[in-house]
Amino acid sequence: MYLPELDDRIVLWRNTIQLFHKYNRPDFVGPFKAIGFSYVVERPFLTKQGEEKKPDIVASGESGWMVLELTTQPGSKEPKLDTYKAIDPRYLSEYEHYIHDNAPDILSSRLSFVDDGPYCQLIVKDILRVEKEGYLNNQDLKAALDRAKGADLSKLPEIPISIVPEMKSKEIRRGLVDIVLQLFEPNSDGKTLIQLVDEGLERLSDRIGVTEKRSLKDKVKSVMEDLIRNHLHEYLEFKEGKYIATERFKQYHKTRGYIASKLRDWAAPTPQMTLEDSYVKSLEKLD
Amino acid sequence: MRNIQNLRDFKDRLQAGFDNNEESLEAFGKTYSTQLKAYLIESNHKTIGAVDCPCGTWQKLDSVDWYVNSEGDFPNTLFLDSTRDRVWIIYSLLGATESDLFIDNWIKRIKGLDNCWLSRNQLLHWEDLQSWSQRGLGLKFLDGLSPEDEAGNFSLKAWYGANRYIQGLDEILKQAEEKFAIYSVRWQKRTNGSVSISAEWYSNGKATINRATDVDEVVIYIAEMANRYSDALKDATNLRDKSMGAFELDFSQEINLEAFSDTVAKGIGEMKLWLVETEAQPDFRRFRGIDLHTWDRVLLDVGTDFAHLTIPGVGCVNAAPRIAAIQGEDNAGKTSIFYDGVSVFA
Repeated sequence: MYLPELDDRIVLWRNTIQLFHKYNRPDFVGPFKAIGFSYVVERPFLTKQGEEKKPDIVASGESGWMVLELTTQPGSKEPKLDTYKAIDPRYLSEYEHYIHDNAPDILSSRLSFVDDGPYCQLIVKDILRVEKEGYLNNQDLKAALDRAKGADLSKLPEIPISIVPEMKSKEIRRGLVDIVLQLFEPNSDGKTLIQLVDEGLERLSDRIGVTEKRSLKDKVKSVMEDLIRNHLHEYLEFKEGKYIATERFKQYHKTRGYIASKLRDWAAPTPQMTLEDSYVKSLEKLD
Repeated sequence: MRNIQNLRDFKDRLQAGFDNNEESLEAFGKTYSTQLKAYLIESNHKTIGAVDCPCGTWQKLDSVDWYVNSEGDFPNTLFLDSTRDRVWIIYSLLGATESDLFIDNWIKRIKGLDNCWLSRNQLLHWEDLQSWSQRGLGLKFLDGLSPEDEAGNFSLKAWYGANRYIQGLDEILKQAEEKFAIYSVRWQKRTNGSVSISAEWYSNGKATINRATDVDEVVIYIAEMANRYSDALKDATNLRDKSMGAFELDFSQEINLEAFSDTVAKGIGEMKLWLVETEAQPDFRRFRGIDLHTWDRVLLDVGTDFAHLTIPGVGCVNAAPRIAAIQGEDNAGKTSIFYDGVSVFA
């Protein structure tokens, strides 16, 4: 049995996004879905002074609107959350959302509790916890979160975004698995580093700053070097600027099984830290 | 036999076949002309430029976006209606064996083509419509993840009529229909007291017209399903693009997760998924990988009686009904597809 690490950013994103959705099995109605909130991710808004803000998630429904900040950082996000109060709600109309004339409810979403000041906080690790809900103005939102407390989040579906710049090496490896498998398509031209990054970022690809994307490129390059050097050197190579399958690869079920097994070892968390982990960790310190 | 130049010629040819069969049915109690077959094809190609012909070469008809096969061993036997963006229809006058073989190989050979995998609701669409009645049912459960000698195979094809003579058979068929995947349904339309269409629809988007009296009625009948499927694809694509939820597949039979994991790791089995397991709990697994039909990425989270399918990027949403139909027949019995708790591809 292997499970993701506790500070897994994709778990944070997945379990937060799924609060806007509903599933029959396992029985789950996300509290934001329950009150008809629709959402946008990483979209620009302006304050009344014209300053640009790009919160992680902005959502709106008939009963009100909210700004949601997702973080795994150990420090308080209070100063950043304070700045969201000034967002001008009229820009909600640009995203076909309900418009309101009041300040938003501001929440943070985390995998473990950190004091983010006078704001409601969601803890979305395995079981949904809601802290400081007294700070919410929207009573429908407060009631929906109250009802959802204790919901099991551990089996909610993956989201299409596979990698984000803040991820650690292990998370990036896991996020790249399916993109790497595509390299084995018959007659594939291979993929460049930036293609791997863009496909992993999916809809966030054009919403990420140049510096963040460069940092992510470095991390992806590092894990791909490790994959080729230590796991799939017979079947995968970096040639003329592209990651591409070698001629040795044949569409044969035993070969596929071998590659799947190697990728599983590469992607699944292990207790040992590899040299490549150390390298990525040093990059993370530079961010 | 004169060449078919336009849609009128095509319909005249079909009508002649229907008339022949009706005459021979009346005279001899059976049909002799080859029954018309129609295949709904899910296409990611804008034009047929990059798509060769299953048999011979495509030749344009005088009607826009209609083609007929020419040359090869069986000219003037396949007719392509590519008037819709995502769902094409191939009408075939070939015998069932050759026809299925040509179409199956063609879909396998050309990336971006797939069957239209009809859901239970789509197969049962005519259930409550006036003049239509269900005349037969095909059910399938292959138990494909179990070892061959232990597999609980179930396959049944029941033409209604005989069930009147065996007490309790109706009830058994009803229970089987609820439990197992439907792979075919035969529908009959009666007009003014006589049969005007008798047709069988299959879960892979094929229809066989057993009897018909009016060619326009038949073409409209086939086109209706194509339009419904096309609308379902459009709706699902919108959901994929505008939201980050997952398609939910609910199964009536439990999945053996261990066997499932072994099968998909090798990219074998009817589902044609090549997946890597990235998280494992006793009753739940997460997989990331490839849908080998299109080589699009898929993320699949599987519980014992459900699966959540996420399609990143511009991956083909046809994966949802395909996995539902194939997994249903292969392993998991009756399957339903939902998005945000609402039935889709219905």
